[in-house]
Amino acid sequence: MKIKKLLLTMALCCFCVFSVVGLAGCKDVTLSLLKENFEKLDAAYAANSDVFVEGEFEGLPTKYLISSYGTVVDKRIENGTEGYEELLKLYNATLVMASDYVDSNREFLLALEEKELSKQSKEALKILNDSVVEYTNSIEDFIRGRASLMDYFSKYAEESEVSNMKNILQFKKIYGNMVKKNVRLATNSARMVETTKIFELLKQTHPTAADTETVKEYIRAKLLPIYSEMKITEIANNMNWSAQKEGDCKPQIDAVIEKLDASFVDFKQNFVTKKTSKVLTKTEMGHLFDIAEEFFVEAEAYFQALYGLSLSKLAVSYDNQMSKYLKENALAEVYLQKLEQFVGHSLGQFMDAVCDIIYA
Amino acid sequence: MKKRWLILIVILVIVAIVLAIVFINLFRDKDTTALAKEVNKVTESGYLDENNKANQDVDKYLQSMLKLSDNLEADYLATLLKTDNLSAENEKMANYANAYAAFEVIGQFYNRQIVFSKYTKVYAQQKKQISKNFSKAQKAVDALETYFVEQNVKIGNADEWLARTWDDCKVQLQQLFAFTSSAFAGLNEVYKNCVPSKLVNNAMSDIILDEVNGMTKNIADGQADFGKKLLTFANAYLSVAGEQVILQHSYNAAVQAAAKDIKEKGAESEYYASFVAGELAF
Repeated sequence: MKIKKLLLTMALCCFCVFSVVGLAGCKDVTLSLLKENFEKLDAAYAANSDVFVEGEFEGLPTKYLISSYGTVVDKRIENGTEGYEELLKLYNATLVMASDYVDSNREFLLALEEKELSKQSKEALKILNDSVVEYTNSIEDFIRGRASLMDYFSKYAEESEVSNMKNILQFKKIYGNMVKKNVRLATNSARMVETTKIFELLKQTHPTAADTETVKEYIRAKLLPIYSEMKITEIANNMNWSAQKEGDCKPQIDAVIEKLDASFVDFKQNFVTKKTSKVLTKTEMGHLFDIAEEFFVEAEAYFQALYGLSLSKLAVSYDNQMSKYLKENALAEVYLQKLEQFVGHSLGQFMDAVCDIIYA
Repeated sequence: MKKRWLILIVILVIVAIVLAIVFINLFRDKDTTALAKEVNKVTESGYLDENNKANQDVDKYLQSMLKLSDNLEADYLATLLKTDNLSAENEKMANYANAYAAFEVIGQFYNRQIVFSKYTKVYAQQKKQISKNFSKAQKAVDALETYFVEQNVKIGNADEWLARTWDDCKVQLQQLFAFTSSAFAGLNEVYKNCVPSKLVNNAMSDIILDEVNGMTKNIADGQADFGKKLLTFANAYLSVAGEQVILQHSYNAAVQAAAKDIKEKGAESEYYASFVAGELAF
């Protein structure tokens, strides 16, 4: 009797577990919930309006310039001091571009008809909503981190450069975490747009100048994580790269990082500073989408390689010695070769091809 | 009554276990790194690694065999090699030497890309067979190494004695090339059907890998000049520098036109001769 009861209980438990797991995935996210969460994000910005200020970034009007990092750090940024200038030229630049894209898509997405959302759109909506919430939550950490940084530099800046750099690196981790979530928000916003019929319409109707801008901004948003995931998430968040040991593969990785830095400059020039994109023909619009689609599939291989290589492990645990790292990660060299191919060739080829199409 | 309850419980437990297995298999990530690691092992430390000892010994052996014609009288050498066509036999040796070098380049190309494939039916079907073929090819190379050690081959010396080893070594070499060619044919199927990126898997890579397929089939029987042609072709399009022509396909109308023309017309294409010679330039 006891055994019977035990077996029956086990069987019923299994069914309960499956029911709960099955039902857990069924909770729908609505556009009104997304709107609410965007409003919470606006409130977070408003509550910190002395930090996120209006201005212009390399010709792009924005509401997301970070006003200051304190007098000492601001001066070092202005002077182009290594280790400091990235706060503006990489971190804030990425934040501005990603936030700009989120803002420009927001009204379009919130104006969609709830009833007409496809299954894909609903899934994308849930992911987008989660990323709005995650990003909003990261802002408070950033505000606290910034306050700490300003406090430290106002009191101890003259004492030790080693300690200064340590504080900057700690702050970069917090800043980088916020930027990563911001870029993810922009990417998920782009994914939600992909699930609507807007791009199909753009391919079928006669495009306007505004349509070229829409596609340009979409491509810009999709390109951002290529830079931020390596430079910020993989490298700056985990280590001070310039202080890492000179192992057998460091020159190779240095070359990839250098090419990526140069590409980021071109990226900003082509997708932020340059303004006068032309009105495309239907054929040109179709071709632009085709090459973009192909490129972003290859970009997935780039991300697979980036995460597969794990630069921080290679640098910190193996002192950039590929020969030793291969014993733990047999495919590490393959991943590094993909990064070289993608950053060295595919990324530049794609941007050139896009510029050839969208600019007169 | 008691029996009915027991039966019900047993049925419920079985159904729960089956559901659990179904759910686990549905959501488990289908991993394509297994094949990538096999290819990596063969090309980075196995017989297709140019730094591998067995690889180097086979190359030394073939280079030494090629020098025999300088040192031994033709008729006598033909007798030792057990051939009635010395010139063809020498060509075979040259083919094998060049083909081995070409196979390294081809192996490295697949090594760079296969890890980025998606799990599909083709992947699942081909993986085991590719593995088996590489394993058999490795065994052929290992057999050669064992033979070299057992026979105490003095590379570069004892010409007569060296010539007498050819008949035995030839068999293993043919196996090496036959099985490696089969492995590459399988990898070609996986590449075409499972690598999702059109930047690296496109009409240009199709014709290149199909041509490699055709060329490698001829290596085992050592037909005229195929080794050298294959090496030139592999270096031209599948090395790190050479694969640029594949990467250009999405952005270069001339590359697209050439790939299309060769695909449709084959040897009749205006581009075919330069393509096969490794001289397509854009």
